[in-house]
Amino acid sequence: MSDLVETTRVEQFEPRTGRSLWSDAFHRLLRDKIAIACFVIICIYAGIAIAAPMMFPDWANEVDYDNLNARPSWSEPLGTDGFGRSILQKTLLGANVSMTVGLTANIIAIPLGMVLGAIAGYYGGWIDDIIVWLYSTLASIPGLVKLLAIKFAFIDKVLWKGSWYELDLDGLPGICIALGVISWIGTCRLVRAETMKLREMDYVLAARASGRGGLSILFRHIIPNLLHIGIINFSLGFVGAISAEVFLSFLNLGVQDRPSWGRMISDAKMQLVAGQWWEIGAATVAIFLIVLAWNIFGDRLRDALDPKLRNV
Amino acid sequence: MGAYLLRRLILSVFTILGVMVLTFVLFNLIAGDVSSNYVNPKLGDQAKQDWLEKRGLNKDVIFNKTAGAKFWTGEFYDTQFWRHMIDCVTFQGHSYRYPDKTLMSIIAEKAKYSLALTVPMMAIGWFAGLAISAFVAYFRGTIIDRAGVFITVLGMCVPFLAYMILGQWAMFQISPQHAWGLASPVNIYVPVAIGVIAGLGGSVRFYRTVFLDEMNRDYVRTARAKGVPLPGILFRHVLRNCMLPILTSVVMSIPFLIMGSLLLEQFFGVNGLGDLFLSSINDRDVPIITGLTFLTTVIYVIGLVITDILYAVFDPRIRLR
Amino acid sequence: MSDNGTLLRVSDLRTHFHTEDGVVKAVDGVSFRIDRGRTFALVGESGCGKSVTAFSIMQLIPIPPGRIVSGSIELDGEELLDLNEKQMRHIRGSQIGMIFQEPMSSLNPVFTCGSQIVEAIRLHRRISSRDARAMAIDLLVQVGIPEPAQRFDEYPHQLSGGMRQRVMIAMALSCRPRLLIADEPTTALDVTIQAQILELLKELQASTQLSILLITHDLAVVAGTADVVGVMYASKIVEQADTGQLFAEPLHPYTHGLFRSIPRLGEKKHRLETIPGTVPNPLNFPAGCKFHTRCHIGRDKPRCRTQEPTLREVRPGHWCACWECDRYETAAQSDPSDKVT
Repeated sequence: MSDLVETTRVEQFEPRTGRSLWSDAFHRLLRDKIAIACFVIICIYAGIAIAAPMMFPDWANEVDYDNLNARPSWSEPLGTDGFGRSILQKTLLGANVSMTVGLTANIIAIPLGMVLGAIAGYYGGWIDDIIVWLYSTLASIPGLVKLLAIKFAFIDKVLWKGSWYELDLDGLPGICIALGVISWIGTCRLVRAETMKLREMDYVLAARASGRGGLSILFRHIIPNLLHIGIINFSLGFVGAISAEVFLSFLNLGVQDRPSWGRMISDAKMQLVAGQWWEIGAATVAIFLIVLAWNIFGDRLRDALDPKLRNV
Repeated sequence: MGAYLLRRLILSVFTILGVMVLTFVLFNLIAGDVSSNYVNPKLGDQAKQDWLEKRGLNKDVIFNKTAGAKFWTGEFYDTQFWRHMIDCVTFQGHSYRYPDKTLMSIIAEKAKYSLALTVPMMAIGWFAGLAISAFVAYFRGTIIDRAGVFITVLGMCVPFLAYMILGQWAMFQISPQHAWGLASPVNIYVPVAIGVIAGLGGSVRFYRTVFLDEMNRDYVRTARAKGVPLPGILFRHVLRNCMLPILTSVVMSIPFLIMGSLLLEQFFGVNGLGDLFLSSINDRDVPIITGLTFLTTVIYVIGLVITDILYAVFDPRIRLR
Repeated sequence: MSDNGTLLRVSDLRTHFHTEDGVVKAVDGVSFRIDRGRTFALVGESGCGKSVTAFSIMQLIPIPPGRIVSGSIELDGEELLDLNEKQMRHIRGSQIGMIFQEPMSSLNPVFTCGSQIVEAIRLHRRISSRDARAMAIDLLVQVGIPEPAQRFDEYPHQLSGGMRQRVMIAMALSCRPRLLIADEPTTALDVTIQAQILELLKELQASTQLSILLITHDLAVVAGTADVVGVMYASKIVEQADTGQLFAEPLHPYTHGLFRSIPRLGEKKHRLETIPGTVPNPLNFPAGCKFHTRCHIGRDKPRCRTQEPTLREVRPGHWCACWECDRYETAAQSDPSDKVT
């Protein structure tokens, strides 16, 4: 009886020991008002990205030659572009491309980096050599040059044309693949280094001693313990993907068939001199807000999940 | 140290070989036939074949099948792949657009414009970034620090394009003849200034993290316990330990010294290699793209080796390994 | 004993940390004094506030989040808490030296050992660098480093842990401070090296009239070196006495628990005793005596659960903060169940 009393009392004074990494990080983020605000902004953008194409399906054809480059007014809050189309709608539609690229590029990059990094770190030997060679080769081409080089190779390429799984490498899928293929390296490096540490941990040794196979240890014991690295890199990679898409679209190497912020800036770059600031302004503010939100949210998330990664 | 360096060099050779293969796969296999950009398809198949023939693009891909299995003869290697490898190393590939010029001569002609833009941009940006971040780190925890961080985060999030276009617009208001082109050499300072300002947010934030991380180390506590004043801690103890990440970040940007700033060159009419790279993509000028990609990679890899040597200079723990 | 005079007097020191989870009272009303040429040891489990006490004396608490809320720290009659940062800097290194737990990371890796000692000397004395070098080599001899002239130009990572700690001691003593704060100086070292370092500290103390504030969790270290011991638990000193007296007759149940958890030669026990439970969370201390949750006497006593005891002189020179310590010995020997009042 007295034992029971004692244990309950001791626990009572230590409210934090029972929490897992995830719930601890979650509670810390919940208390962080700025992080929540950023997350809300991200959710709003995601909502717009989904809703805008449904709300304005016919935007491209709403050409109004009586109303070219109109100033912002009550009927057109952000003015019109060179074809008299609504800039507000154009900006909202741009969220679709941006968020799609950010999401898809990371969905390709993060699992790729995690699996390759874990395999390299766990098995070592020649497998490690090959994976390290692969990423150091890719990493030795400077970022933008590499992106442009892949985009160049993808120009006018459509895979499996005519089938239902047609893959237009010159359009949105190409951008996502190009970005995914170049941005897994950071994750891979980190995960490989962490796996090499985890491999020597007692619980992994115990799993190995009990006769578990390599792949099963990898997927049951190692990758789940490194998921936080993937999540942190996901949030940090999103910013990179959004910026890269803007860069490509500005150079007319991006998406052609729908509005994107980079193209808006590209279309309007000469209009500023004529005093028409609204198109460029709308796109800039749209990019600024989402990049800001992701930057801050990514930082807070990283601090909550794994502060020692700060310098990576 | 010697063995370490040798190992490092051998790895670099493998990396460079990897890049050579990768560029071949990307530009020659995936990108494929670009002749339609140079030969009007209406001229018929013969004209196209002539064009391909002249540039060695109708040869076998990896090994010359007509030479049989005689791998000891040079003829066996007379293929697209081996030509690509040789052109990479020698920089003697011929541009499609300017057939009488080799890559080397084009680089030699244009590199000076890129350097005129990037050298001051990076030197000023690097110096300003370090100075500001040291200043902000010096006042860590105070309102100055928080304001500094706030401004840098905001500055980081403004798209580069906005800096560029607004900068040019502002210059156009002040003095239109200096807003574009290189008619007058001082025009170069407009993109330089824009590049410095746009890059400042990121670099201040990075260096500040590096400084603050280092300031939480145990040896800083020891130094304080000895009575070392804060400037001594920052500029003697901490800065010396921060040299490694700072050097790394500097070396990482070296390839862009040569390559120039892609967007700024194009937008401000600076006739450098960055501008050339972008226009070559539009022209499908494969040899130029290959050459420039390879060039930046080689500079980057050499830079990495130099960083490793510098690491050994600055960190005694590595020197004696 | 007291004819030596008091060098350091700490009274009612309170250092709090303002974290996002609330205020952590890391040091909450600590008082003690150190006489000249004497060693005072602060003993306690990790997290009890002993290191924070040491850093408060040096004023090296990171501000924010830390803050010395109240109290007084007098060094030779001079109130340290009234000094500004610049004045405090002259105290550090020249009046008070400090050595740390981790000799690995406490030395700057990119400077030679010698240059770091020279720096410490030249910060507080106007002498040429050549003289400073000679002095530094002299110090290295004093702390027992072989081939000092050669070691002078070596980097910290080239030395063993024990040698590094000797370099740290040489650096801390380079300006002949009157007080040396040793924060777990031997924890990271091998047992034999530990003994050597402690022996060195004793020798230096004998030759220079140095006072030492020794922070440790290791009672064996205390027994061999300290003159007076303060036992810290949950941000407060709970018992304080001369070393001999404390070891002969520990009064506080926590101290008693600490002693019982050390293995002794010649004693046959199947299992070492431990103190049940863990140190309470400083964000959420229990009401009453902070130790009552782990105390086999006070656990069910209403007074222990509601009122916090203060330090009082139970025997001459022997202070203890416990309601039950007068009756403790009898309580410990007989069955606690029939002692309920």
